[in-house]
Formats: sequence, structure tokens, C-alpha cells
Amino acid sequence: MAKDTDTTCGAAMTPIPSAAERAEKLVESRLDEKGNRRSFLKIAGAAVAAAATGCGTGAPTSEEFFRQHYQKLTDEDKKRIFARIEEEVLATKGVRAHVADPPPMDGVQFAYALNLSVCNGSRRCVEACARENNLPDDPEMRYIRVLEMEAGSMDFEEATAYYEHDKVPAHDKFYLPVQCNQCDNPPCTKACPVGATWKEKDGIVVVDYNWCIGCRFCIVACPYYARRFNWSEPEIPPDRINPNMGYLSNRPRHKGVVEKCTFCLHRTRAGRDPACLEACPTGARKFGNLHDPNSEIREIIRSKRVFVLKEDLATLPRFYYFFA
Amino acid sequence: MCVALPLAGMGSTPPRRPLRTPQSRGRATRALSLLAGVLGALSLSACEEPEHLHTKLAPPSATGTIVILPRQSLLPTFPCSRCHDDRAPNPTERRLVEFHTQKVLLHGSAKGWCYRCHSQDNIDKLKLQDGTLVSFDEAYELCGSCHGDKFRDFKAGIHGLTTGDWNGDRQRRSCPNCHDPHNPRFPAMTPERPPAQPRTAPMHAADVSEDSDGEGH
Amino acid sequence: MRSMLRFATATTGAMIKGPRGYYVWLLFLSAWVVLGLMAYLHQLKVGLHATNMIDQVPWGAYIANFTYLVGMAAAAVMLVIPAYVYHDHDLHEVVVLGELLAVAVLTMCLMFVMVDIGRPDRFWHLMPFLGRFNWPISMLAWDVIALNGYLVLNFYITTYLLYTKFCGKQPERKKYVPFVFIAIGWAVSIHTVTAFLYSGMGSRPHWNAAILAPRFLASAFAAGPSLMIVALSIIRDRMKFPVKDAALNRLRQIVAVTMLINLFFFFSEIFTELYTFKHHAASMRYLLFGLKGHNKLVPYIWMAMALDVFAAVVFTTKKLYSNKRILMAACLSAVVGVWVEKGMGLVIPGFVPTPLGEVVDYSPSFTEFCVSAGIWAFGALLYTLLLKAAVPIELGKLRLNPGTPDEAPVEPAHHAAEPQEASR
Repeated sequence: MAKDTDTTCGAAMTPIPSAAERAEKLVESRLDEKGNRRSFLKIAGAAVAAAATGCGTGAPTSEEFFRQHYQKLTDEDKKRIFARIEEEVLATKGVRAHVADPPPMDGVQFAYALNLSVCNGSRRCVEACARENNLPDDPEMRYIRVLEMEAGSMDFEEATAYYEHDKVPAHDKFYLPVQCNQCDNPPCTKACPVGATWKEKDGIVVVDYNWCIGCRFCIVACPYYARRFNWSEPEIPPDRINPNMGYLSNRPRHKGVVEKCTFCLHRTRAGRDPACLEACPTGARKFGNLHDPNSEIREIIRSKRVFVLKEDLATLPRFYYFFA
Repeated sequence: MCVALPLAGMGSTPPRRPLRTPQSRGRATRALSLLAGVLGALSLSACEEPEHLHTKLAPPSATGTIVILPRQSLLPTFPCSRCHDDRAPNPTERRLVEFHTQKVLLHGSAKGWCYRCHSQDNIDKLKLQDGTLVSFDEAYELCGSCHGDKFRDFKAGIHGLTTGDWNGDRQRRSCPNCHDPHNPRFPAMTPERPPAQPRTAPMHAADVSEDSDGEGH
Repeated sequence: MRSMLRFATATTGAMIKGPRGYYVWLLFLSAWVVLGLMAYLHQLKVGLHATNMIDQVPWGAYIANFTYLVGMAAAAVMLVIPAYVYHDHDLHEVVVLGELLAVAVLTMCLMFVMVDIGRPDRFWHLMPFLGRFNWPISMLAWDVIALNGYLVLNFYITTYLLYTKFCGKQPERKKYVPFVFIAIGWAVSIHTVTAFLYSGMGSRPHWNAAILAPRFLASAFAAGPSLMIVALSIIRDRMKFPVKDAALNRLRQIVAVTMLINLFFFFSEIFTELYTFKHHAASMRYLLFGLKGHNKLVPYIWMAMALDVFAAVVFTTKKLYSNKRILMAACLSAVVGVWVEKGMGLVIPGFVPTPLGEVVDYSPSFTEFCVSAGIWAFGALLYTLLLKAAVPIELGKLRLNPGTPDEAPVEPAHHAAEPQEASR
């Protein structure tokens, strides 16, 4: 399907009610529904809290200030926190979201493979990822970066991510999308002074957005330019919000924290493909479980001449490239 | 063994031709369903061909089935016999001027013409090199008979667009979904917009220049 | 404890009383501090968007200044080693002043880190046991221990020495000498750890060199003593503290050696990168010659090298360094030259080209400039206040019991060269 990139312009021109207005509307509708004073207070309190935090001042609530590392949260904590986030999204954006933290599946080690003979640089993956993961347009954040490479060379210095053509692929170029490689020996997790980023059991490297102190040492350490920082408060129009949220993946983030591709763990841990793979029009992207001997990814690694980027740095990426 | 042909959800491949929605309940659909039934019977007969001619896809992963999405019922000019039964096949190689005028063969060295792949005797079928007939849903058998490497990759799921769940049912697409057999090159596309320029570091022309001396100066 | 309270009030009193010129100086510095504070509040409100840092250049002026200042703090050891290890009497008298400089500079380092992180409200996450401290794997975790430990060490040593002197007593050797020796090793380690932050990054080939830590130390030990020469000269002139020429000369000798070593290390890096002309050299090419039309840093690095060379020449030529004016110029030249070469001239090229080959420029935004200037002013302010209290104590003018003479130092007969606290 051809992408109409003008839809974002249309969305931006629709006036978005302020958080306070939304909170008021929400309160009224809840009062009508239930007429219950206690739920009114609960929602009003949440809306006020959400308005205080979600509007770009960045001042944390006391719960946020004292919140422990994700790995120390109890199930009770998580229920409370996820409900809070859902309330905040509802109050500030009017969208009913669902936040969860699907655990890694047993016996699963994710890996990704990308067929460089077939990628045509359409950047459909970049935009699909942005929609799936609630990435803002202003300032623009994109997890995937597609490099247009000179035919016959793997030299990044001669490549550009900023190519603009009427049609792709352009003559004598090939295309190399780069995103987080979910390395087995990640330099970023070594660098983080507070342990806010770590590698999960299924291989995905995640970030606890409420633990990150924003020192950006992980960005310095990453050899693949895969990690992004929220230099200002990200704003996403309500109609572009993906309500299917993961606590460690695409739930709303705030300024001052680092984020990156998580192999769409809120999808892949439920058996679905990552958004980038689904959007790819040429079938260049392949994904699966390394432990499954019948998987496409295993067959690719077995039979194709796969390679990884910057192998000499011994990061042991889970993202393989091949020509087929 | 026939390849299963259930109708699963369509993926996001850009359609090469306009597709009819499977949900419409018009007379055309009922007629097509009848013909599909006829063809189903015919393809059953084709299934009696030797085992090795029919594609075995890679075994499904632990939980799902793999399906190659059907195309035949979505071809606008199918069944071909609707028109071709009225006329005798004309095997003279020529440029078509009355119908199918857009079908100019740009496939490889373009040797041969329509009847190289379309069966002269049964116009609703495709013809493999040894004369075996396959349906349009099994066009990959014909493509694969020359493009063996790609076919091998296709069977393993490495080549071609796959949709569905990595851990569940997956759908593949037959070759003509992306490669028009008459002009198979994958169509060029308009790319999405480039990334925003670095906020505080405006680009120079040299950063996106086409020419390179390999030294970065 | 009464005497401790008196110490606190007396030193505070000394800090807030002074001649008119002193107040003008304090006011001048405070104005910059307030400017920096306002700029920082703006940055807190809008986020680090207020700086010119971007994903391609995630560290900028703040961390460049931090890196430089860690070196300065380490350089206090260049006073301590001659004084305590080689029993250089002339330097012994000024060691406390050097350690106070380390205290002020370390405070600036910590402030530069605080203003750089995206979520300063989450600073407690860094604390061991309270938060989650990724030690020993994260070099930043090591740096937190190193810097805070060094600050505590220096603060303790200086406070102890000044307090005992204030009380008119001789300091007990066992209460400070072991810590001084620990501080010597610790000073080397703080700058080594900071260097390892950089040299451990495989993603940044410009830094991923074994020579980076030695280069850091050499440049720190060139710039630090140079600054000390300037500071001590000012202290001698303005505060009437008798700093011996021999002490300044010893510092000059140190810089003569370390600046030459620093230049040699830099030259060694340039050669290694450029002779092979491999892709890892792209950052060096960007720095020295510009890359793809981006050449913002080129004039600065060449200027820095010229300043370093000028300093080296002056420090090694008797005819030149005997001239006080030329010596001061050379000291400032070393301070500025190393700042450029090690701060912006090292941090920024590490990011250019990016790991994906992109070339960008960076220069600090107005906010970054104001915040940085504010922190420098704060450091100068802090050092001024510390000196304002310390110098009178050292000179014997500020005492717990003003009338009572100081305790005489004990002179062991067998070791005439033992370090002594000269009382006045």
C-alpha cells in the first residue's frame, strides 16, 4: 500500500484539547457512567497527576521519584504502575491503552536476518516502526536508519542515510538498514552506570525508562548508532498512538531518557512479527527463534553467507545480513 | 499432496493488479466459486502427478501452518477458457494487437512467447517444461523450474514476503504476487522521506553527494 | 568540639570579610554563577534540547570540561609527590593550596556531570545499595567512586591540616600522611579511570587507543601545574603568602617535562593514525584537516598545538622563563592549549564520523556556554573562599587562641629532611 505521508499534516492540524480539558471531559463522563464519588476522585487524581507530569515540565510524581528498578518491582507494583500509565495516556491523549510486560518465552532466542540483495531502501520499515513504537515526529526519532551504500563497498563513510529519490533502488546502490542488534556482548549494558539497560533471557536488550538517568554513556558505547535520546519531551498526536504497549518497549517515554529498538517485544513475545518485518514490501527481513531448527532464521544462518557489522568489536550481534 | 489453499488474511504486499475483495457476495463471486469448484476438481487430477513435482514447503515451526496464498481466483481475466474456448490457438509468434496488448514479454532473454508458459491445450493452466500442467496457484512450480536457487530459498521462507506470526500461522506468496511473469523485475518504489537533518548540524552537499573519491576529503 | 565550631565560624568569617577589591571579585564571579543557574533552569525546563548536543554527538561542552577538570584535579598530585616523596621543602608549604584547588576543581567536575545528565532527579540511582551501581563493569561507576573518594580525601586532608594549624597544634603524622600517600595513587587513578571511560569504547576508534590514558595524565600534569604557577603567583601578590621562587621553579620543571611528553604522545597518535590512513583515522582527519566540508575544529586544534609548543619552548628555555611575563603567558598558553586539545579537541572528534559514517559539526549552544561559565565561576568562587580562609591560617593570622604561640614542631635527630610544618 502506498504510504500517504501527508496524513501526519492532517493530524497535526486537528486541535488537540489540553490535558486539563481532557481530564475534565473524562471526569464528567465517568461521573455520568458511575456516579461514584470514589472513582471520580481516583480518576480526577490520576488526571491531575498525569497533567502535572505528562505536559513537558518533567517534574516526577513522588511515586515516579522513588520507583525501583524494573527487576525489583513486585507484581503489585507493576499492576499499579501499568494502571497509572494507562490512566495518564487516557487523560492526556484520550486513548485507551493497554500496558503489559510480557515475559520472555522459554526456549526462545530471537535473531533477525536481512537480505541485502532484496532491500530496496523503501524505508517502509522505518515508518512502520515509528508508528508501532510511538516515536515522535517532532523532534523526529527513528530507531531504524537505512544507509544507501555504494555498490561494491561496505564503507560507511561513503554511505548516506539522507538519500532522496523518486524511485528506489537507485542505480549502483544497495541499502543497509541498521537498528539495535541486541548484541550478545553489548557494550551499552557494560557502560550503563545504573544498570538501566540489560539483556533479557530471550536476547532482547531493554531499557527501564524510569531508571535511566540520561547520562548517554550507552549511546557513546554503541557501535551501531542504535540508541536514541529524548532531548526534549516527545509529543505524539493522539491518532498516532499505538495503544498496545509494553512497559519495556513502546509505552510513553519522557524527556531525558534513552530508548531503542526492542524487536517489538510487546508483539514478538506474543508470537507476532516485528512491525518492521510486516511492513517490508520486498520480504528482505526475516525473524525467528534460533532454538527452532525449522525456523527461517536458522536456515539462513546455516545456508547463507551471513555476516554481522563490526565483527571485530566482538559485540556478537543478533542481527545478521546476507545476500541471497 | 496438494498445497492447502485456505483463505488467510492478506498481507501488505502492494497489489500488482486490482484485487476483488473475497467478502463480496455478488453473482460474479458465485460464478467464480462454481468455476473454482471445477478447477478444484481439475487440480485434484493434477495432484495425481508424481510426488516430487509438488512443492514441499519447509516444515512449519512448532505451532503454525504455512500457506501459500492463492491468486487464481483473484486474476481478473481468469478463467481464460471463457474467451479462449471460442477460438483456436494461434501458435504463430507475433506481437498481440487485439487483446492482452500490454503483455509484452520482457522476461530474461525473452525467447519464446505466450505458449512457452501457457498451455496451448488447456489455456487455464500453465505448462512446465516436460508438459506437466499446473494451476495459476502453483505458478511457483513453473518459475522454480528455471530459478532453482530462488525456489529453494522460497521453499525455506528465505525469499519472498512472508506475513503472519513467527510463532504461528504464516502466509507466503506465490512468485507472481511480486514479479509479473511478463516483466518480472520488482517494481521501483517511492521511498519514505529521509530522516530529519541533525538539528544543530546542517548538512553539506558533500554529505549526500553521489561521487566519491573513497577518501572522504 | 567547641574548637571545631570556632574553626567553622572563624573560617566563614574570613571568607565574608575582605577589602573592596575582594567583594568586587566575588560579585563578578557571582554574577556569572547566577547566569549559569538561570541557563540551567531553562535547560531543566525544556530538556537537553537547550544544548547543541544531538544523537550523533551525545556528549559536548559539559563532558569536555569535566574531562579537562578531572585532569586538573589529578594534577594536585604534582605538588604532593615532590613535597612528600622527595621531601621538597619549598613545595611543602604550598601543598595545601594545591589540594584546595583540587577540592574546588573536583566540585566543578561533579557539577558538570550533574548538568549533563538527562534526569538529575534520579541521581540517587547511582548510589550503591540505595540505587543500583553497575560496578565493576561500568567505567562510569568506577569514576563515581574515584572522584568522590578523591574529593573526600582532599577535603579531609586539607581540613585536618588547616584545623590543627588553626588550633596551633602540630598535625599528627598518622592522621594525614597515610591519606596523602593514598591520595597520590588515587589522583593518578581518577584520571586513569576517566581516560578508560574513553579508551574502552570500541565504538569510538579515535579514543580506542592504549595511549589515551598516558596522554591524559601527561596533559593534565602539564596544565595543572601551569595553573598552579598562575594561582600561586596571584596568591603571593594578592594575599601576601610567601611562595618561594624555588617552588614555582619546581612546578616549571615539571611542566617542561610533561608538556614535552604530552606533545610527543599527541604526535605519536597523529602518526599512527595517518600513516596507515585507515578508516579509523577519519576522526583524526576531521580534527586536523576537516572532513567532507566540515572543518569547524581545524583552526582550534592547530591553535592548541601552537600554544602547547609555545609553552614547551618557554618552559625549557631559561632566558624565556626567567621573564615573569613570558612565564605567565606560557602558563596560560598551556592551560588553554590543553583545554582545547583534550576537551573539545578530543571529545568531539570521537563522535565524528558517527559509527555509521555520518559527519556532523558541533559547537556549544548559548545555554551550554552560560552553564559552563557559571560552573567555572563557581569553582573560582569556591577556591577564592577556601583560600581566603586557608591563607590566614597558614600565615598564622587566624587562630583559635590568638595570643598563644603555636606548638613547636618535633625535630627527630636522625632525619633532618623530614617534612615539617613550618609555623610562623
